[in-house]
Amino acid sequence: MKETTDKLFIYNHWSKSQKFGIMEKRNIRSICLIKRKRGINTMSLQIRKDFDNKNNHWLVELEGEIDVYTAGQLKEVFKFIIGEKKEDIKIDADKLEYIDSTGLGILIGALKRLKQEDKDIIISNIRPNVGKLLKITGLDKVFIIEG
Amino acid sequence: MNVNQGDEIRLSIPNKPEYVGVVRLTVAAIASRIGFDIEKIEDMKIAVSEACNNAITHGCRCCKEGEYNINFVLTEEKITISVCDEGEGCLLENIKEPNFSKPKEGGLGLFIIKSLMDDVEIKSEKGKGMMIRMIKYLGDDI
Repeated sequence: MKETTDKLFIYNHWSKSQKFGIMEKRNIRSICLIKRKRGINTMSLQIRKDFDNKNNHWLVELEGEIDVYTAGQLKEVFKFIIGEKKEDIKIDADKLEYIDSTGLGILIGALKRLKQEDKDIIISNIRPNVGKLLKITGLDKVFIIEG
Repeated sequence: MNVNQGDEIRLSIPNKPEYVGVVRLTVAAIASRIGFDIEKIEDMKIAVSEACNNAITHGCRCCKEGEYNINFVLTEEKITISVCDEGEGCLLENIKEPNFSKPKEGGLGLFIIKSLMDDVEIKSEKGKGMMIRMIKYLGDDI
């Protein structure tokens, strides 16, 4: 499969986060490192991240599937954001269609690092299949589950 | 659809991570065809993916360009999915139950398979690969 080159860009943009309750316009300077492999889109993963300055936590939006192929992407994003600021990470899993132990392992690894600073991972808008997996692995007691 | 003789579908797939998604789509298509409901289909997708993850990480000892096999046997009452690799294998006694009070980053795969599927059989010997056979019954839905 073809691999597109890494894109590194810095941009100013209006906040897209109205659903998080941030209504005012603000400038956000974000550094995004995106590595995309061309493949069949139904099996890809897109990750959007932002730091919420008002509430002092990270907002991460997951779209697609996290499996052995895409988990590395998630690991890189967590490595980056935890390296930037060790604050709570709020994950919006509304568009997360699939996750298995490879993704759960990444989440556990990230939580371990956050716990060093007494921070948490909060996951919201979970789909039933994801919820079931968190329950049978007991991880619904390890992460904070909302909504 | 008449499946009581046990239709068999065989898949031989390169042990590369990018194809596990393809396997999931195949599992979903077959399971949907014989009438499983969405929750059971999602269970099977995860269980088979975990078995594939296992085949990929421990599967090919000889070279990087190996493959593993997945077999689907369909009857009126159940589906039997077998994932076989010819890798290093393992000592079955070494497979530990996960410790939920101290979650680790690995080791959940086999536990998840056993939780989501109705019957699971694992056969392995050191140096002779591994076979994970999983059964899901159609149940009362039909």
